[in-house]
Amino acid sequence: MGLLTIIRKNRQKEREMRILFLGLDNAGKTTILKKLNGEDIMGISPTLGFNIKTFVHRNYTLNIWDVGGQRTLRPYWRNYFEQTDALVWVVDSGDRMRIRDCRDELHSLLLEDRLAGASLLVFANKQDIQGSMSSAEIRDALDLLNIKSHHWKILPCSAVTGQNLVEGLDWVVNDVAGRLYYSTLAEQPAMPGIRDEGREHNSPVVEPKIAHS
Amino acid sequence: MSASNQALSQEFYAHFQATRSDLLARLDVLSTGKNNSEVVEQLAVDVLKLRKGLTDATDFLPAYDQRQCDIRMKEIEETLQKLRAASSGKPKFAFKRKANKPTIPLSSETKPTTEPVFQPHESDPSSGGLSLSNHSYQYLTLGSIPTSSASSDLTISELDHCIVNLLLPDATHASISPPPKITALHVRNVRNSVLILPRIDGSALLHDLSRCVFVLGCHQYRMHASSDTDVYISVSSNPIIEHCTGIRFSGYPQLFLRSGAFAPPKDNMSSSDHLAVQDFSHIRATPSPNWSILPASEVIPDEQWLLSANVEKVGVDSILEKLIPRP
Repeated sequence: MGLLTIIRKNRQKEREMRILFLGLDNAGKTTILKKLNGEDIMGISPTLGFNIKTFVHRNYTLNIWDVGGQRTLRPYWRNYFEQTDALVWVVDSGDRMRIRDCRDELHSLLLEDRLAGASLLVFANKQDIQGSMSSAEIRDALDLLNIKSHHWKILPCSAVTGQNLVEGLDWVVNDVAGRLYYSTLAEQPAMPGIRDEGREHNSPVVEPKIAHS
Repeated sequence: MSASNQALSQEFYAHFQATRSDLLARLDVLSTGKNNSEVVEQLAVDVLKLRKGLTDATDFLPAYDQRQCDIRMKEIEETLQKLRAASSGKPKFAFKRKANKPTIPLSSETKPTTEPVFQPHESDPSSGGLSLSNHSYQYLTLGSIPTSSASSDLTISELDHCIVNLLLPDATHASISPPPKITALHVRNVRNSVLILPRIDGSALLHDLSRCVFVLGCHQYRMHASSDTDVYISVSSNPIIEHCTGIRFSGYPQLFLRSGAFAPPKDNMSSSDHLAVQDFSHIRATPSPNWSILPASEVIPDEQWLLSANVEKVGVDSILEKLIPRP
């Protein structure tokens, strides 16, 4: 193995992101992923355990972990925290009765050291269903405005129609890339200091020389 | 290993108790005196930390302790929630679960009331979609739902001794047109009731059912914290139960499949899928003790499903008596 190979491999590794999909059961985590992957979404069973999906999205390899949200499975979520670059929190926008549960679970995740610095995308799913809460309602119900520890965004979406799913991934990739591979982006987004804490690899050993257009 | 677990759980328990009494004391001070939202928020953070500690401790904490701590934790969280609501001048957006139980006694000696019992309460958990809630001793049909839209989320909650029949009425007396298309179903706190629903184009999420008969077609079926209920189901994935006991499964009644009330399934729905129930509270190789297949001899025969004709003759109560499984 020559030096070039090592460098290439390293570089390839650098362009990977690990994304964790969590949320209460019935939020539509698996359905969103299957929809993104172009798979059938009609016969999905509630997730017992977890699924892994790997996408290539805008030149980044995304390793997406989708862990079941049933109450009995939630204690196992923490087994998936390590090395997470972004957390995607999926909400069933029609589930008014459990929105407090949803808020509490999310906020206790945000206290996790191992998730510190991860970007947070909240998907307000099931917008195709009439009577669903709007993303503004969910933002307030989940108390998102009080989150200071993570860079976050909320997007209304629908796993059935596909609305905003790709846009959500775009935001995740952009936000994580802005933090980890900032040298590859044409514009460097301003980075709040808090997000850099605990990140040792802000300057990759090998800086990919692309995307300076 | 177990010895160290024991030590860990003892240590945790001591910590939990100490923190809890501290939190309670602070809550007490805040609730009696004048409070400002900053102090409340700090308290909220501490409560969350304790909750997280509890979650982390699930690894080694015995099930009983977990449950006890969880109950204590919920008390604290509820008190805090009340305090928060009181402290913030302009009320923040919050959903409250109705705490007061319906005033209708469950015993059968009481005379069934014939009037609908309405209990209007603030922050209706189902505002937005279709909703059917707070009824007892009623026969409820599509006409009972305040319809607002053609395609929607349906919430059924707080029912006791009710029959809910949301199948389309016969063409002869079709009064509702077009019928609402239900795309999601949430059910909570339904007791001693029979619910007959058509196939919905989406998922069903149920909490706290007891002594019910439930008929439904859906894509996904999740049932939580329920007991002694017979489920007649047609589902295109594996139905799941969690924290349930005494649940029995059977297929969607043939009678309704034949009548026009049930749109023919368009996907590869096999009739035996209701047998592949997964119990998330019993993830083991052994069969779950919490559910079983409804024996053919106990399946409700076709003629007894013809409720609308019978209900006027014999009344809701005697039909319920006949259909609901005895524990």
